[in-house]
Amino acid sequence: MIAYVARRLGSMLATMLVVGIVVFFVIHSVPGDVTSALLGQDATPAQIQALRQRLQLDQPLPAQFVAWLGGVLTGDLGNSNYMRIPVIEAISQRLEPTAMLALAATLVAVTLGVGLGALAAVRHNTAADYVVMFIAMLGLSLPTFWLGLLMIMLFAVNLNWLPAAGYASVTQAPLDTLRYLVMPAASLGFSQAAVIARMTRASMLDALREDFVRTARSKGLPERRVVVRHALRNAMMPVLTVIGLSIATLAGGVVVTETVFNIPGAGRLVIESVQRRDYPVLQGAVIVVALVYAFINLLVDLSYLALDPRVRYS
Amino acid sequence: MSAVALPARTGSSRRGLKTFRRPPVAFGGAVLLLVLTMALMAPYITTSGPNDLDILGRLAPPTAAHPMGTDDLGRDVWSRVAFGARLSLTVGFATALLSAALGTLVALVAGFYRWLDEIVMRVLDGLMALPGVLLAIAIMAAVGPKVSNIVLALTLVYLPRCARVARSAVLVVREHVYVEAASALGAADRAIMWRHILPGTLTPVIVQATYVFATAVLLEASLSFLGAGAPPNVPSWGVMLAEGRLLMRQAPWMTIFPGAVLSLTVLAVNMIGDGLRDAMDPRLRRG
Repeated sequence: MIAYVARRLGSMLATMLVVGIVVFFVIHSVPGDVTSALLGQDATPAQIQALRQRLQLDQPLPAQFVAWLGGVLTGDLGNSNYMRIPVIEAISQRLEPTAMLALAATLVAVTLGVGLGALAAVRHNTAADYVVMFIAMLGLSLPTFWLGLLMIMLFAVNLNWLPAAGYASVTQAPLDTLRYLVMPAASLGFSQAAVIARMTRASMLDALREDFVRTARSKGLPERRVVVRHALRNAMMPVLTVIGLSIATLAGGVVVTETVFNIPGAGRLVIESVQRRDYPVLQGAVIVVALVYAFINLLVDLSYLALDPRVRYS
Repeated sequence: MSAVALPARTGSSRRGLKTFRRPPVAFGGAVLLLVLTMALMAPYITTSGPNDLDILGRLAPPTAAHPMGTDDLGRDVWSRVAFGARLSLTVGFATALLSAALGTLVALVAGFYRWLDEIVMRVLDGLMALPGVLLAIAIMAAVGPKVSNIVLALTLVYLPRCARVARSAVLVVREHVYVEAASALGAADRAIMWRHILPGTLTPVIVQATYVFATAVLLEASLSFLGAGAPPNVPSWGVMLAEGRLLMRQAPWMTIFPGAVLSLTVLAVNMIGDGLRDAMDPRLRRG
């Protein structure tokens, strides 16, 4: 088990190195000099030179990469060119709305996805199954931002039930946080619910055909218990994998959803940093997201142990 | 050198026809054909250009002259939707084709030469650990807003996914006796890859390419919505939705129509993808 975790951490490090190389070199291939964006057109050559030195842009690219990587490994993602604060601080200031949105959207996705997927499997080849599968297909096809806009039109503009945009901090007004998060979480979670529902259905259909389900039924267990305790539990392994993988999609979706609902989170920060050409923040945000994603997938793998005692990692 | 014959594929063309007779696939095919026709015939089925301004007629609701209304600059929404289909379909098709072709190439080489496999897999894992939107935004920030750059960015996003699918097929086909036979007969590596392994990997890659088409259309719209996609003069459904977002109260048609056509297009491609997957999966094949 420990050897497995160590091996996975080693492989994660290799993956993160690739992420670092890709992100650094993609962003440093931006044409033009960032100093002109920061200092404006009236800057003197001396000012430009001083700024280039301060940002270490006068160093060769591989040297800049090594310095940046060294910083990343020690938890230093550099400083924001625009906000003049450490990147870590810039990201952590905007993390709460993003974390709350991601959490709420995951909750929507898992509850809806597993529930509807299990229902479709139990009612296989009935109207309920077809309706659920059609909803899942819609979930895969509707752009999250369009769904969000339609929700704003209906629930905020026409019915006036929910706020159209913005965010309230959970530490100051938790009930308002919920009101602000309902629509963003529903629109973001819906597409992931579709993916999870399809996988749950397929996996449940396989599990329901297994001998242990027949045995459980022949023992006279109530159908509800057969479905939940025997079939669903055994069907959850591939579903968990899909949930882990959907985190990356969710992280990308956060950027779009925060724009639609004007949520001042880390996703908005990414877009703002592109507009401001604040590349250290963009690099930092991408690295943090990739790291979170890798850790969540490690946790998903380890959760198999708790879910299925037959799984052994050696 | 005699080529080693692949196992005969009986009934595959009949199965292909049968697939397109299934109602969801037929619906998907019909909608996609309609959108394709709309894109190709855009200059003939619209009454004004997608960038023609009419300030006096701005924010007009749908009428016979403007079936989808006009936007805040008086541009005809229908015309922009029809011309916008060109960008979406071009990006979707080019991304699917390129990422499937390059992904298969990477998978063939990595799956065939085992020493390369580990390195290639780590690189693919690294690329896949980056959320597609973020990677595409970073690439677009680097290369600038051009249609070819959108295709480049999206190909980099989807190539690893196609390569993964193709690689798992390569690993299965590589172990078949006919590949071993070709190798024993002295066939060159390149011939084994192209003639014997490649045909066996095409089916799952084609199915994957269909899904890439659908998600690339969605991702292009997302990028354009965020202002990191289509160049300003090219009509794009994502840009239209970003513009409509600011005028939802006064002109809901600016949001409803482009979003509906975008969703229908993606739904159609997903339905075709599901149909192809079911037809090619022996466990799901009916009849």
